[in-house]
Amino acid sequence: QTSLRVADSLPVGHFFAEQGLKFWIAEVRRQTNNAVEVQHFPAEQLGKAKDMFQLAMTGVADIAYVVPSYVSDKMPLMTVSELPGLASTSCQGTRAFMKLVRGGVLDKQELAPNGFVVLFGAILEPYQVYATRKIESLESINGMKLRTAGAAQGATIKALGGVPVNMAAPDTYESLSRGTIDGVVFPTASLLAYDLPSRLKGATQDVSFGTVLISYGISQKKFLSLPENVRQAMLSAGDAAANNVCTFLDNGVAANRAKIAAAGVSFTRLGEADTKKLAGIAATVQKDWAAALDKRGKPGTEVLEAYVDALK
Amino acid sequence: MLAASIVVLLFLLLAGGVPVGFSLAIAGAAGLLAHGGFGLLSGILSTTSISTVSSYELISIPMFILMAEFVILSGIADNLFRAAAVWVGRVPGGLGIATALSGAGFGAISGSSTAAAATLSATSIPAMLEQGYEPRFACGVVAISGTLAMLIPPSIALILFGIIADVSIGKLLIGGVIPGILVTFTIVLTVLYLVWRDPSRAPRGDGHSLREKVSSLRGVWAMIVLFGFVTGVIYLGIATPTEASALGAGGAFAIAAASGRMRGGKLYAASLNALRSTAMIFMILVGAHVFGYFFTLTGVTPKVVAGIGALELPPWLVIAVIIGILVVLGCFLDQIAILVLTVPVMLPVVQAMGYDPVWFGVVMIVAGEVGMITPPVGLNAFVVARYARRPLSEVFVGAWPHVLAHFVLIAVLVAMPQLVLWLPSRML
Amino acid sequence: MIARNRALMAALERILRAIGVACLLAVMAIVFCDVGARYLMNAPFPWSYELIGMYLMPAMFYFAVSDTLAADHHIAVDLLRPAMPPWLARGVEVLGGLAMAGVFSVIVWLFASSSLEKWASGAVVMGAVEWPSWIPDAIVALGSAVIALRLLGRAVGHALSLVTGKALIALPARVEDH
Ligand code: NA
Ligand code: NA
Repeated sequence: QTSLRVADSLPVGHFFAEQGLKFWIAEVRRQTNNAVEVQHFPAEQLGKAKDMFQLAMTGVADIAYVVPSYVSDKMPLMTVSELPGLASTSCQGTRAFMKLVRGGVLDKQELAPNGFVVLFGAILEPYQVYATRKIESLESINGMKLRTAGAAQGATIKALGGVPVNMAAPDTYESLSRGTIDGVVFPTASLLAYDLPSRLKGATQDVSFGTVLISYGISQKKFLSLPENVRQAMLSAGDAAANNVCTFLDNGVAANRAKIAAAGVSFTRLGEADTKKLAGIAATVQKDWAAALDKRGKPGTEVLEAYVDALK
Repeated sequence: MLAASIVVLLFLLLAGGVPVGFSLAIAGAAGLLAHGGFGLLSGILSTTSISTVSSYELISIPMFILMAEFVILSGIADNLFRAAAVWVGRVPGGLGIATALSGAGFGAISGSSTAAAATLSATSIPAMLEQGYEPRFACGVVAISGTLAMLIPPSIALILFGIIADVSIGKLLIGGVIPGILVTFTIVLTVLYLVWRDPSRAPRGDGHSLREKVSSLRGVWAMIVLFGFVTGVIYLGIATPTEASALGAGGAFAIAAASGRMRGGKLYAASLNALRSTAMIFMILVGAHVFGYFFTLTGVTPKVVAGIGALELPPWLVIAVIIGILVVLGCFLDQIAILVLTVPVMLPVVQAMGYDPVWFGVVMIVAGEVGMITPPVGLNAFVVARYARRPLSEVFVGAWPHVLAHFVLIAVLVAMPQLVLWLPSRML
Repeated sequence: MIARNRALMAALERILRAIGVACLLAVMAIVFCDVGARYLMNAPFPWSYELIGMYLMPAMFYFAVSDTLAADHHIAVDLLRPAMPPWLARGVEVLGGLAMAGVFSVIVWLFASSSLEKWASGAVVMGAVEWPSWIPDAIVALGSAVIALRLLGRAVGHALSLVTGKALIALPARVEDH
């Protein structure tokens, strides 16, 4: 009988815990004839999002939630998954990511040296720009103050003449109402969770301003201490869970978008010229990301190329 | 068994006069050590001792405290209450009522109770004492009025609840409006009752002519400008409530500089005071987190809540028990720690009985207000004691009538959930 | 020797708290200018959010925590203190002080080693700027080391006072004494 403590910072009932973690737990238990017991500590009960990796490494938790952008000093290469203009659906990005962490370049270059094993992870749908004004074209973004998260999103918005603003997600509702910001760069699910559609008028559709990777992992030390059959089950359940959560996400986008549209937000598909322009900006952001890592002696270009390859 | 001994240890440390933040950290560390050994303790310390204090959103605490220090330095706080005395001095307990109203007003710009309590203590307690108010009466009304800031939007506590429970923050904030007004009335009524029972608690001020009333406002304009500035930058969309705290400090800095009272040494002394109060509050936050993680890891809270579920009691009684637990936890835990610990386990129980999560969030905050002013850990009482330089025991005793009045109000909110839910239901 | 150590401690705390005050005023000034630049010129400082959250906030706490103790500004429940005999009050100071010094010593050990490790590996947080991540850890380690020494010194002073029966160090003067 193996007992594991799982920690994350997601709110109770968050879709990722429901569709990813709970699915994974059930699958592991099924494959091992209930030989694994899991105690779940959600909602920052054991620490904040940026603490989670450390909690797993110190054994406070056995399995912890890891979002690369929160631990970019420990896992800079993992943030490749959050760059703009890459995956166009959750499942496309998720499958590529899972390849790179199962013995691929991310495993070799970053996870193994850190002593960490990713059990499963999923890349959210591509983030869109949502604004308090209609978006006719990329030109509309010029001069807009947009709440962004992470360096890559910020660089993309800046290249379009927008003004990236740092702000806690819960502050966005009031800030949009009062015009402190003109919009947000968000996935549909967060937009609904923070109740923002009623504050918004326009949105982009089917492009990528970057995204976020959510994963659960375990320290190598703990992993290797587990029985062989449990380890096998954890990895194969991980593949299934990643698949389950990305499918859930991709299936949900249309319904979420309909809800958002029903609240009065009009979605705009960019014209051909704009689509090309955005792709060019995204490519520059990707290259800059890789170059910055290369300069610090990390294989940024190698990882970017491997990820782009895996997306095909 | 371990959890019980750790709680006893905490109470012994607190009773012995060990600083609150230290007591929480020591008891929590001892518990973690006993529960999971040195590895567990060092794992928790390696994360929480830095992540608790490295957050941009936390600047509202030091910034609103700094604003209060600069307001004191400028001398306009004295003017404000001189004017308040002129306007409401004839009403029994007039300054107490003015304190409650300014607590509500300040609450509309501040999301932090402690900052509100600091500002109110600095301004209204000296004025009340000068007019011969009973010190504990004065401290009590200031401590409770400060808590309005966590109910009237913007509220850090309600936002935290929304994040943890995944409930609409917009609805939660709107849901706090009517209860906030009701709490203000409750404080005013309690003040009137206390003064009616014993008029010597609050000597009546002198009456004043309309001309005197109008001219009394001359010394107050800077304060009104400052409050207008802070409110204005938020509502005009210039800044978020978090940022507005720093703008308020900047505005108070400018007013203090203009008053001619700010010489180099005084600027440093005021800033150092704010820095020390910040360190004091942050130490409690760090300690509360260490202690909270011990509670979480030993599963104390879920066991208690599961025990309640097994009893199959009528819903109102379960709610009563839950509120009782919240108030008891409020006796020795910080509000943030309570939310983190209890929401994930209590909310499912409450929702299963058909209660609305928005309603529960607001009721939790009202119950939490009680925790802010009850011994031994009552953050607002601490702040008032520190700023008014009065003994802590006096603040706790003075707050007692307000605690009783709050219980009545909580009962009303439980009996009539519409008081909370009506306004959010009007929102689209 | 005791006097010299005490003067050294006080000087250390004076320096750290001055940095803390500078951080506090810097937060005020940076946010003020940041909001102004965003509203008036649509050009906020991209670095302010991370600089304040990662560096200035921990510095404000850890560079002030020992000085706050020295000034007896950490709030304590003072209901029972006046009724306690001096030997009991000193006993509590010794035990509580040693326990808390222990907690802070663990923090020093954890953060000094992680800071060195991050410094050696050149780890950075990738934000608007590449922020060296050894600095916050060093702030925590330094501030904790100073308060651990302060707590240890106090505990020794109270213990010696207990043993010798002479009041070598005063009991904390909190609000009720004023
Ligand atoms: Na408020
Ligand atoms: Na309390």
